[in-house]
Amino acid sequence: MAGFLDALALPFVQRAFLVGTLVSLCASLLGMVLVLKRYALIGHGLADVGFASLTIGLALGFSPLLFSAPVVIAASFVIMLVSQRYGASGDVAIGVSSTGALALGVIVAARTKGFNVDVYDYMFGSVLATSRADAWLSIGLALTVLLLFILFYNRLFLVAYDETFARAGGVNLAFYQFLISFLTALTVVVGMRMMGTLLISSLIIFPGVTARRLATGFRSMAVFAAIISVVCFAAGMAGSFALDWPVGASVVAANVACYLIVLIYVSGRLKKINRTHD
Amino acid sequence: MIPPILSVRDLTLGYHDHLAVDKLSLAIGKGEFVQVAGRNGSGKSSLVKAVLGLIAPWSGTVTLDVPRDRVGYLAQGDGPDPSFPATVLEVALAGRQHLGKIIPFYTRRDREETLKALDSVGMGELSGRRIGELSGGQRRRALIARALAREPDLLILDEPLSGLDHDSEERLLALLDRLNREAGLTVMMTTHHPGLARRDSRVVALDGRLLYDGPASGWRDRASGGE
Repeated sequence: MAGFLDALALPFVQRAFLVGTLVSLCASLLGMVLVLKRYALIGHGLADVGFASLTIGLALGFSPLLFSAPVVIAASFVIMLVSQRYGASGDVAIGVSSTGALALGVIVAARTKGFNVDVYDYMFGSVLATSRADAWLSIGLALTVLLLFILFYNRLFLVAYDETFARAGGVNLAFYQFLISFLTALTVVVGMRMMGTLLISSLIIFPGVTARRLATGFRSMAVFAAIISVVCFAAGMAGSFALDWPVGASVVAANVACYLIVLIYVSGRLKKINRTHD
Repeated sequence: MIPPILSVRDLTLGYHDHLAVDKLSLAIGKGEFVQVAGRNGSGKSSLVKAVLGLIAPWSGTVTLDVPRDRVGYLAQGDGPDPSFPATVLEVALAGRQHLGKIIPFYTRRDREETLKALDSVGMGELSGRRIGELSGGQRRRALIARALAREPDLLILDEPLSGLDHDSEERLLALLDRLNREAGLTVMMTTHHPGLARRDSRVVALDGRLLYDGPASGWRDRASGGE
């Protein structure tokens, strides 16, 4: 722990901590909507697309983040469009685009600079990777996501809870579905540098799934998801410094541990309630 | 002649190649209470969905004299996924999301009207409960509160009584009666139960086409006459 607190004095660790906290917040809030709407795998599909675009960006000498953002946003729209048009086969759209993109990324990486440190960092995440410019861009994107989530919070609830009622009231469902995928794409782009393209989707899925077990309502789920995500990020980052683990994997491990603790707590509470009723 | 709040003209619609409603015309006046009767598959729900813009007609027109967000709607069944984490208050408040508001934050008035709607269906005390923990009848009342929170000009209920026990059924009908008589709310309610045209309201009976349009007593006489 002392190692982590000492490291926090370093500017690049401060940057990583700030960006990571913001990304964790965004991922948890959007993730809960995706989990509730059963779109949780979109994050994973987009992260694979992100990987492909990062390798291409690196190969062409562009800023990987700036190059990936439009590509991932476009991919999110395509996935959502296919899901809407073909209904239940939306998971097929995600599967096809994610594995296709991953293969493309691997081929590009192998044919250009090979699997060097950069590519490895993008796959599994790195704290060191957050440059000053990346940090500013990430903070801007993360704040955009948070602001849009807050502004449309009530509408997102309506669309997530009852699409039929929303449509009957004249709400443009497609707009909100695209808004959700747009925000998810931004979150994936911002988060994949630190968490890694292979691990960023867990940041989207875990806090929502864990919070759902504890919450009575939508708002309490949002609060739980946000707290769980930020605390797990801090714990994962501290753990990564203490144990010399990669930061992305440590954050995922913290989320898994939190999920298991909540699972045990909730089933214990249910048993207790059942005993009182018997 | 009461000005119509809803006019349906030569409405024809269906699913794939199955015809559900055939050349239906009807008008509902402001303040009317209309029961749309018919057996399962007679096109009642299809009519409701066409009125709400949820399905597109093959031909014909539906004209609403009120904005879409002034229509309160209760869908068939006990509501969305009961495992969804939402409190009764959160669900009912969603009825206050009007399209005019670009950024839909709730105001104090939104909360007051919603709590009033919840009280009117006897759910005020359960407003903080998770909706999935409630019985089917209570869930439906919460969803009716959501429709009422909208302060609708037209309330459309699709099979609101199915699956309710006798007491809940009576309570709900009494509430709808009161809203119609005292507040002048226009109510359009579907039912597949032939005996449920119990109040002296207008009955529109369907069987794909329009079978009957007139007072409930006439429909009951016709039904008991073996037709």
